[in-house]
Amino acid sequence: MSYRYSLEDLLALLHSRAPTKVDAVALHRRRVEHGLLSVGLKIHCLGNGSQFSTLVEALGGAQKILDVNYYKDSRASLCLVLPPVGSARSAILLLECIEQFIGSALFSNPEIQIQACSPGRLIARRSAFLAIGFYLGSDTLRRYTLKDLTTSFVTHPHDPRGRRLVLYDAEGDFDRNFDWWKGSHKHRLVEPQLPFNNGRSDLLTGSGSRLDIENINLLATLLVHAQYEGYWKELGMQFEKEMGTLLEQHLLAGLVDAPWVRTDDAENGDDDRFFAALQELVAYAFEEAVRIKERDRFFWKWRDIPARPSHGILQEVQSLLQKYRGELVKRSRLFDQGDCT
Amino acid sequence: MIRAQQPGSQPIDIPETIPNPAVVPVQPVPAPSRPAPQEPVKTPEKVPANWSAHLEVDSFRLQAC
Repeated sequence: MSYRYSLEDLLALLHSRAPTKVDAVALHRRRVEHGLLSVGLKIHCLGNGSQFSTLVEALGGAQKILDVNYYKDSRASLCLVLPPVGSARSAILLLECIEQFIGSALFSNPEIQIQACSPGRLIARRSAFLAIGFYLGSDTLRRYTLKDLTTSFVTHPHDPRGRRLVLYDAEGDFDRNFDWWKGSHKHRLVEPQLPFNNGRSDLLTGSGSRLDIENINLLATLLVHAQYEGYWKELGMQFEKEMGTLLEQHLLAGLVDAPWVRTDDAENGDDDRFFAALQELVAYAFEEAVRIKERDRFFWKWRDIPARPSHGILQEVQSLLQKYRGELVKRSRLFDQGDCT
Repeated sequence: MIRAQQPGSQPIDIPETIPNPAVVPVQPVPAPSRPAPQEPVKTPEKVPANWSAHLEVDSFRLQAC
């Protein structure tokens, strides 16, 4: 992540338009909630970017703030990299502060593409779970073209990232100074730094929402903890198992084997194989959305709903995310209260 | 919108995004217009004059046990 300004500079600037929210971000900037991962954000602007000009100038000008970052969506006029914060809540507040400053929406805006960045490089299979969980759990179902996923790093000589939903970092700046929970059950240890020197798994949300940022943060936490022996490892592995079973029940288990992230492995270089898997997922989700709508229209009384072995993949993923969010928060609170049973 | 067309059939418009019907939309909480007022400082309740005597009795009982 290349940004040549501090969060303090940004907050000082935003304070004039959103003082209360800025104070909240400043206060909790490094505060990690329930052992969830820190959150970084990149904002790709597909329009002419004029709404950002005052902000960029005040932070030091385009040369210092934007041009230093070679990476961006190929259609974007600018990519603004935000300094990472301790929680999804702070990240959402920070975006709301910027919205108020620039006087233009950032959430659910087709001209704004939000990239959510999580620390830790997930292996290919876990990257698949991150992408699929994000997609099915989002409040918006999207259709993609490969152009939507084209960035300036598609065919980069050193760090080719391909056209994917999940992208690894390009070994730029990395802020390790966020709490990392390790241990298990009653033995929770809080380290003041993340357990890796570098590495991120980013997700191109498209026009993202608050829910997307929260879901990605939850999914990335479960998967990264499963991979790096974090405190939530057990919960993360349980999640992986349940997600795998869910996909199997919908005959979508094969999707996980597609290259959802471009790793150093040459076998993962095939954009088309990834895109075929993504399109299959998208088609299945859209079909399911139509089924739910029709069910709601024709069977408006719950007792008229025909019995089905499944509630449908969209509702099942919602339930899964709610269950794991609830479980994580419950266990964290129990620990804080001193009752770890 | 994506326009899809097959030879011999009418082109159809396919929406690029639709709301996920499984997600219940949450009404955004309006931003506070001013900082919340500070809570008044609570003064500790008065302690009974003979509180230390109770303590002595309790510790005596503990020792006796």
